[in-house]
Amino acid sequence: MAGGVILIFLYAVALFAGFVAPYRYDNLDTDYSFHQPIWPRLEGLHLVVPRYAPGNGTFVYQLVPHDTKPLRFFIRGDKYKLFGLIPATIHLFGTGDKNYPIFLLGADQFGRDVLSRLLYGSQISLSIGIIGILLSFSFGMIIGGISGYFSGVTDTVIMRLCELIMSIPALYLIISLRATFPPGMSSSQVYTMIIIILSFIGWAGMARVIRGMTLSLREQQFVLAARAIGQSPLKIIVRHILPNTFSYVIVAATLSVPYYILGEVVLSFLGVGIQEPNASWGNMLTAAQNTDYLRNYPWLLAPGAAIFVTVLAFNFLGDGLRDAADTKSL
Amino acid sequence: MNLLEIRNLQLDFGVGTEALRAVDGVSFSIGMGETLCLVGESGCGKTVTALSIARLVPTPPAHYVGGEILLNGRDVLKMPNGELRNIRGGVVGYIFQEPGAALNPVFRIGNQIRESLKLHRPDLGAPVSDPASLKDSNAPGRRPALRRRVRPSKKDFHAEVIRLLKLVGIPAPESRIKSYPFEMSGGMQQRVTIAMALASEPKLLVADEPTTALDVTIQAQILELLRDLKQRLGMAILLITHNLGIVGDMADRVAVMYAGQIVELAPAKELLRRPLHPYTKALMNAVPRLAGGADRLSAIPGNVPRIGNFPPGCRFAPRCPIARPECSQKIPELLVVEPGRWVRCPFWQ
Repeated sequence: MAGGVILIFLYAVALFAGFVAPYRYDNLDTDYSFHQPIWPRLEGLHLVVPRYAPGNGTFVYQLVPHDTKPLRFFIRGDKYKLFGLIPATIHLFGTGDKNYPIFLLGADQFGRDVLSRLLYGSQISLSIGIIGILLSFSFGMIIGGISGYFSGVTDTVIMRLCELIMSIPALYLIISLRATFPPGMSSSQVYTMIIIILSFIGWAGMARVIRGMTLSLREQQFVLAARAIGQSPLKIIVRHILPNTFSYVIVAATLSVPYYILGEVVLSFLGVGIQEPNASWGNMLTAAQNTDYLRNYPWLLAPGAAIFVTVLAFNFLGDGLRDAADTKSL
Repeated sequence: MNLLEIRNLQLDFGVGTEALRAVDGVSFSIGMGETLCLVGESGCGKTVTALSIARLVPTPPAHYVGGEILLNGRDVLKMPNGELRNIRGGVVGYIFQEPGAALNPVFRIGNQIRESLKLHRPDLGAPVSDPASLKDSNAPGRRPALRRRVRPSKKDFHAEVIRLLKLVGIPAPESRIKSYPFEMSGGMQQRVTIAMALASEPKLLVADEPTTALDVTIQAQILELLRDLKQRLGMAILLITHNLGIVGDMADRVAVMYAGQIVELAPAKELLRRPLHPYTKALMNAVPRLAGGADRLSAIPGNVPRIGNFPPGCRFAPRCPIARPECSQKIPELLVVEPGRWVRCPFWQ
């Protein structure tokens, strides 16, 4: 269940990204391009942030000895909106001085704090997984339930449609679908678009599995009993059949979230996803494509590590849930 | 008018050359408040006949070839779906053989009873599909404004569920209402399914081998409960069983089925005292008696013919002790031998 703990932490941080991040995702200062990570150090009883000055050569910064600023907590800084609603300026930590920046994970090409962008990006990358799953699974479950319950022609038509969607290579479908939408869409539009596209591809697999489970569940006597009290077919599907598939669905959903997160990453990496200056893990990785950058500024790979940890955590959680929900082993 | 009147019901599984006739010309009727027992071996068409009353047999694979099922004078086989759903539960309630399987494992029992209530008595008055209200307005769900009450609250439903649980004899219903089916014993589960069926106040309760899955003492309790409820609520009961002991206990009349046909229909007492059809006689002989000593139990020789492989003529002829050559010529008619007694055997004497 370590996966669960990690995920709760990640989602909590994403929820309060504006507060935890010392800067805004678009706070840029080209004076600090490709600045290496700046870590506070303990000096006496205080944490202090050292200062770096431009050194010899481009993007080389050297430590200025004995020039520090104390690290302060709950400090006023950039404006942001908590949960996207409440305007606020308080940040968890910072120096409060523009000349003493704090870049825990370094800075990117434009001198933007990688950590801050990572946190803002997690809002998009992590929520796409959850919303995508909710959308595609609820759609897939209802379609699969209908297909399995009514069987016959309905079933055949729906299943052939599913197979059609599943037979198309997902990535090309995503890209071509994306191409049909106009460029210059706002970030939130693109975000919605990505979710819809990923869900559009994802529901078919779910529908097939649920259809199979429904085929066996509808022969159960409690379904007959529900019909015998005059319940309507749709309510029988939603109230009686689908809840009996939940133990499977929850596990499958957990194991599929990474697919959606990676889907967003892929799209953004290819430049058809979330656009700059908005941050997402995918488009942050785009900046790390260049081998030169990778050799000299390895901190740009931080979003890769974040993706790695998240996906792994989801897989661990899914495995744990599967063991817990495995009714067959009882 | 009888509450239920089945006339010459014929039902096939499959179509064309592969059609198998599971129910072949079954006719019987049930009056208000009457108990009819349907007796027969496994696979003789009892359950399919019973499910047909609310058209619950899935079609396909089944399909109705002929006959009619008149419930309150309306033919169930020709009913539109909306009306059919009102009939299910509203006029005919069902209890099944496996109480554990008939309850949805993921819902608390209180919810399952409430589901039936909300469907048929959303204002907790008489059921929506009350035969009287169905007749005066064809729109299902509509009822005379006179009896319309204020929409009941969650609490009212809760109280009604508790009343029903009490009615079927569940101890401490206030705490049991939150139980999941698997937390209850088989007997308690069966009481819950009975409460579910009663929630919609049906006129006819179809009990499909309600005690087969229960042990003997619980069987007696459930039958006692059914008898008691029948008297208090004035329901008619169609009881399917293959236990002749239950027949003597419960039934007003008995219909004996063999291979998709009714072979004998008679008042229960008379049938038990003096069975006329050779199959019924053989069945009665197969019942062990307490005073019977330790002799070998008598069994009917041979096997039940498989559906689709029925012998020509009388279907019981190959196993019948009094069979004559002409028995295999043509299917015998159901003969009236006395008022209210039918036998499908010309040699019943």
